[in-house]
Amino acid sequence: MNRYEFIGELRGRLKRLPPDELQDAVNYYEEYFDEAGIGYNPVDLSAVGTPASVASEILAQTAVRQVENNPKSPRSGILAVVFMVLAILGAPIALPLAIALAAVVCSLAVAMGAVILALFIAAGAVAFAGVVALVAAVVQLIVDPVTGIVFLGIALLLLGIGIMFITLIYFLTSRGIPAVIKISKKLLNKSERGEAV
Amino acid sequence: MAFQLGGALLDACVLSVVMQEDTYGYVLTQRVREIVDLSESTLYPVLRRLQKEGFLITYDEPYQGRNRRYYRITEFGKDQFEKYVKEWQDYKARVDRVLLGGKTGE
Repeated sequence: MNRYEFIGELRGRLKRLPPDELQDAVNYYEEYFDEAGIGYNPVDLSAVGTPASVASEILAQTAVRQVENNPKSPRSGILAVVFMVLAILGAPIALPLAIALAAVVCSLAVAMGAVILALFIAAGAVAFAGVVALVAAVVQLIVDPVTGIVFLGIALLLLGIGIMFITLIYFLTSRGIPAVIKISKKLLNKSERGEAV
Repeated sequence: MAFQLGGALLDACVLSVVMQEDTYGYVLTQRVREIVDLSESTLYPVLRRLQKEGFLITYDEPYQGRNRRYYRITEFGKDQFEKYVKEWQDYKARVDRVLLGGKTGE
C-alpha cells in the first residue's frame, strides 16, 4: 500500500463523518507522511498500520460521543448505533466475529427501543385510566362520598404508577443506549486486541 | 513485550509528552513509540479523543510551505495528567508488592 492508497481508503471509510472531521483526519496523515518523508511511491507501510483500524476506532469514538452529548435524543441514539455498526464491520477483525458483534449491538439497541416504547404505551394507558378514575371520583364524591374516596385513591394510585413509568423511560433513554454503545466499544477493542495477538 | 499498554496508560503517556512541550503528530508518535510498540497511525484517534475531552488543544504553524498541527495541553489536561500519575504510582506500588514479593520468596 502506498501513501495515496492509504489516504484514499481512509477517506472512503470515514465518508459518513462530518466533512471537517474527515478533513482533520486526512490532514493529520498527510502531515505525518510529509514529516516521515514518505512520498507517493509504493512503499512498505506496514509499520504505519492500516486505515481500517484507524477508521474503525474513529467511528466507534464518534458513536460514543454522539450518545454522550445528546443522551435523550432518539435520533442521536440511532445515529450512534449506525456509527458503531460501521466501526465493527470495518474493523480489522475476522468477518464472522464482526457480523456477530454487529448483530449483538443491533439486537441490544432494538430490545432497548422496544422496552422504551412498551413503557411509553403503558405509561400513556395508565395515565389515561388515572384521569378517567379522577373524573369518576369527583362525580362520586357528590353522589356517594365513600365510593368517591375509593375512586380517588385508585386515581392517585394510577397516576403515581404513570409517573413511575415516565421516570423509568427517562432513565432507560438517557442511560440505556449510551450503555449499549459503550459496552460495544469495549467489546470491539477487546476483539481487535485479540486478533492482533 | 509481554505487557500491553493501552487505554488510560496510553493517554497518560501522550499527556506526559505534551506536558514537556507543544509538539506535532510525527514527533509525538516517535516519542510514544520509544515506550510502547504501537503502529504509527494509532495515535491520531487517541489525540482526537483527548482533544474532544478538552485535555488538548491544537494550533497550526507553517513549516516549509505546509502546515504543522501542534498539540498543547490545557489546564484541564494537566489536572488529568496529575490524576493519572497518582493512580499509576498507586497501581505500580501494589503490583510491585505482589510481583517482587514472589521474587524474595524464591
